[in-house]
Amino acid sequence: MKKITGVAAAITLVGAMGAAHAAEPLQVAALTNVDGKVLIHKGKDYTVAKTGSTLVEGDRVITLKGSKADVAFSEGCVTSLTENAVLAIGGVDVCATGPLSANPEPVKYAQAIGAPAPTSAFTPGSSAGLGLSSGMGALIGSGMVLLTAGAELGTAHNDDDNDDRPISGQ
Amino acid sequence: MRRQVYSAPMSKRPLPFTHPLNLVRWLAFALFAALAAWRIVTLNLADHYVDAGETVAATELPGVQHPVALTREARQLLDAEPQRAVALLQRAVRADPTYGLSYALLGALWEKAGDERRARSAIDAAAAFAPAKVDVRLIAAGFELGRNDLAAALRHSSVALARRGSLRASMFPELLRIADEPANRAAFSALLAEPVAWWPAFVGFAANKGERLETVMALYALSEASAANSLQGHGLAAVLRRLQREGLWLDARLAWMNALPVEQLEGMGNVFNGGFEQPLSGVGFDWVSAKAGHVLVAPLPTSGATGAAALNVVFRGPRVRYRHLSQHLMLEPGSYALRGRVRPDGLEAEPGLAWAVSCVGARERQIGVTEHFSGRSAWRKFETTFTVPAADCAAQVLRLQLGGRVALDFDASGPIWFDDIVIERLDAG
Repeated sequence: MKKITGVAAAITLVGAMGAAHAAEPLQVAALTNVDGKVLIHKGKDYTVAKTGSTLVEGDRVITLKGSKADVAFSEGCVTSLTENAVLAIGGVDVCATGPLSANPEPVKYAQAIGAPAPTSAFTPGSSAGLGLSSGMGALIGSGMVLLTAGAELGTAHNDDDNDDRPISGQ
Repeated sequence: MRRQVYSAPMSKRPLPFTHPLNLVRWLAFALFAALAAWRIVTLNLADHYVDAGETVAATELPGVQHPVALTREARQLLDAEPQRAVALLQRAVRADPTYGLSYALLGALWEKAGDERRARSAIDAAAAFAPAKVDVRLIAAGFELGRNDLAAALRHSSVALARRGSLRASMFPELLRIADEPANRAAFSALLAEPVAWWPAFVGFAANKGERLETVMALYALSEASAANSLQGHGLAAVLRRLQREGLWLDARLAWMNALPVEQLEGMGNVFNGGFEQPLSGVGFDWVSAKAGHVLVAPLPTSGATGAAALNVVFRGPRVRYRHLSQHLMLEPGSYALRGRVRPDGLEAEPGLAWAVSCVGARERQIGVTEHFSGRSAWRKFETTFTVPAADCAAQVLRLQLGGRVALDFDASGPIWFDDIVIERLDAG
């Protein structure tokens, strides 16, 4: 009887732990090399980010003018953000699928201010040409979407010799 | 006893005019005084004529070389009789070698006559002697434009604009035309190394009236690149409104956030300044309170407010279809709760005031609305939920509006208070 009670208690404990684990969003990334005004938006409030700030699925990272940060995913890849970028943190297999660029208007902005435009953002006929509305739609629909205004974005895999070429819409 | 009487020694000074030398001295003094008096009278008379616009009369006064009068008369002869104008201006320069406008006009005439060297010399002298004189700067700007030196022309124009605000109406369209050409923007960049008082107004003009969005963005970028001329207030508000109007919501949002200090960014919610602790700036994604007849809208201290203030709205006049307080939002698709606190303070309205959230587009499409508030009560909480659709709703607007359909519904009077307006995502994660 004692044995049965002990097993039941163990099952209950494991179940409770599992429930607690399920209630807490899983950390999928952390910020490194934070420089300047970098913000994290967790659905309710914006907080000023620091190196080591943890990120869960659904968070947004925003780098403002003159700022930059690296997002290090627990899967092993790193996405570098330069100024005026917004990164939505995806939750599934982001390193394998890669981020998707969207939002063509900021490219106009980039051209206007003389900044190099993300080479990936303009694929004729792609959703990137549909404006910010579709960009935001894509933001929700995909695992992770990168929006940027006048920013150069780069993604590098730790095991990929730190290739910092601009990402391509994929 | 003999009294000794003291008497002062007799003066040995000769009587006036009796000694020839003294007479000469007195005559010289009298002559000088007469000349001075004559000079004072004629110059004042010339000044009077100049002030009255009688420049010809002023120049014809015997022995008077009034530089202003001579320059004015010359100005009227620039096209018809340039040779005579030059002669008059040279007389003006001799009369007052520091009168800058004479040099400037001489420079313009010599430029027209093809005498580049003398024209340059005169224009430089004009700017040196009258650096703050608007007419001189305008002539100098025209001269530099003729030499294709846009940077120098802008420097002169900038002084003129700073000194005479009324020039904006005529010069801003010209400056905008110049700024439309990308090759010209380096000259603007050079100008912005120093603070330029009229720059925010010009960028605002370009944002409101300019046809080319690219020019507006370039001018905004020039402002951002200049530590001395970073946009705030009306100039920034105009640029952000233009970006919003063009559907560049993310650009507008980032530009707005870039202008906020870190203290205001930290803890910022989906609704900015929902506690009404800051003034309603009307800029970007802050509260915009358009004027509405006799409706007063302002954050004010009151009992029961969270923090130092709450939003006070007072209807005290004629009927108005009130929907004038709003804030643009950028909520991602999903479910949200709009929450806040209200204290109606005797507001008479049927059905009353409500907060509404709508998608921004060609037409606003309402996606959520609170209950209507009126009457009198203590502070109480309110809440409503709404869903931001995935399509055609990149940006939204939160608006305080009077409910109703017919004109009589918009008859409202009395005050009401709001505080702690927040929008929280319900399905985050």
